[in-house]
Amino acid sequence: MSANVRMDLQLRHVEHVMGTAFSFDIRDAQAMRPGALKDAIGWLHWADDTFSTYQPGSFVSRLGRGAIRLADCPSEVGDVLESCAALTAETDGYFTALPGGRLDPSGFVKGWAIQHASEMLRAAGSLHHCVNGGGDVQTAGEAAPETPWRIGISDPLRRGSLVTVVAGSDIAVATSGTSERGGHVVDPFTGRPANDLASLTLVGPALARTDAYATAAFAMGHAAYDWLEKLAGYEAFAVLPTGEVWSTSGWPLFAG
Amino acid sequence: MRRAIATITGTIAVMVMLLSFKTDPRPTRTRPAALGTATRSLGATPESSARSGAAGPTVPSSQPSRGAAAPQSQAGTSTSRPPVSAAAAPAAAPAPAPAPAPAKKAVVTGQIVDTNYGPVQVQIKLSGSKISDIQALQLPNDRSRSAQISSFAAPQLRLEALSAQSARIDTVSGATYTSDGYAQSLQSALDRAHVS
Repeated sequence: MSANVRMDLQLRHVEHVMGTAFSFDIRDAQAMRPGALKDAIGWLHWADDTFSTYQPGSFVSRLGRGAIRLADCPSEVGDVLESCAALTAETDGYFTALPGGRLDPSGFVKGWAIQHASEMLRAAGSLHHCVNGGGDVQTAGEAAPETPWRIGISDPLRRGSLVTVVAGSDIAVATSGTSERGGHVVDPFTGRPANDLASLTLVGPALARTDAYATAAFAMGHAAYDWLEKLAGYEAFAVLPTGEVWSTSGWPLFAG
Repeated sequence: MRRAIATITGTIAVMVMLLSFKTDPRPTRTRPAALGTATRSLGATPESSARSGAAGPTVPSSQPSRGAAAPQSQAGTSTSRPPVSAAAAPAAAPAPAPAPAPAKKAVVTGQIVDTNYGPVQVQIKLSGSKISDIQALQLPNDRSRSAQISSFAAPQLRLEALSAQSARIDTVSGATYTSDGYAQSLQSALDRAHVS
């Protein structure tokens, strides 16, 4: 890293949106356009208001119950549903925006919104930052000159402990698990909560896809290993309910 | 995307003074409350930045062994179960580093934050640039739901922030948030307060 790169002004912010906490950690705030963070926060709220299935008046809620057509929605809704359809195909149906037949792209929207927030910061001049939304993380650049970001992976079996640490630059990290906000990842083929794994962490380049793949892989259970080994550009680490772990062959690249 | 939570915009500027306790003489600056965002100056030179990590223990090398089994060993077996390694060892709690000199101790109190569940305030004890303890000075307890959040969240957040610190991490991925509302915000803010 060249000597004239300054990373000496840090900006942190926590925002409640989408039912969880989003944290921004900007390491080169001096290089960022003033107001960029506010814009990124505004974007997250807009995405929530547009895609929330908990808000009856959101575009997605109204679209889901047939009150409006796709053409009546902002173009982002069509973009998201298109991406979801592609992911359903790529994951052999394990990722779906139609769980139980109901329109719910939430499994994609959060990661996508985080990734876009990071892209907004980057476009505004910040090359080194981290955005964490409820445990799903998009990093840009490095934590400090020649220092990768270090992301602790929470232990699904021992609350308050870390099971491993991921280190890398310009990476996205998504973890899918049974205890996440009390919810469950449902196997779309059985309709029952997936329970082969206690948690599955996926590292990839960009969070939208990484998060969706993590959700799909968690639903696959043990079969995820073979599927993930064939998935170029992504590495996974899984914890089983027994406390055993497995990881894909390239995982050591990100060993912290 | 729970609606009740989406309306909360709790923002906290937590304990980002850690570097100030080292060599950086510049004071911590807090932005006007409009954004409630904390800003801090890091030393311009790597030496003066606690991010250089000189003070912290390093991550233990006893990471869970990486499904060491090469995928080739699985080829053709069409097993549905990947090779697993032994039980995962926690990555936290490395052996304490030898302390060459008595570390400077300090107490940093975070801002009082109003949430839909009530006011929250935390306090951190520092030993040098390391967090030695985290206490909640105020947590909501006026309603049963809030009380449940408080009793559950406080010890968990404390433990998690401390264990995260010991591995010198920047943030946490995973199923760390089971209580709604402010507890999550506090956790997310804390997950970085220890890095220095």
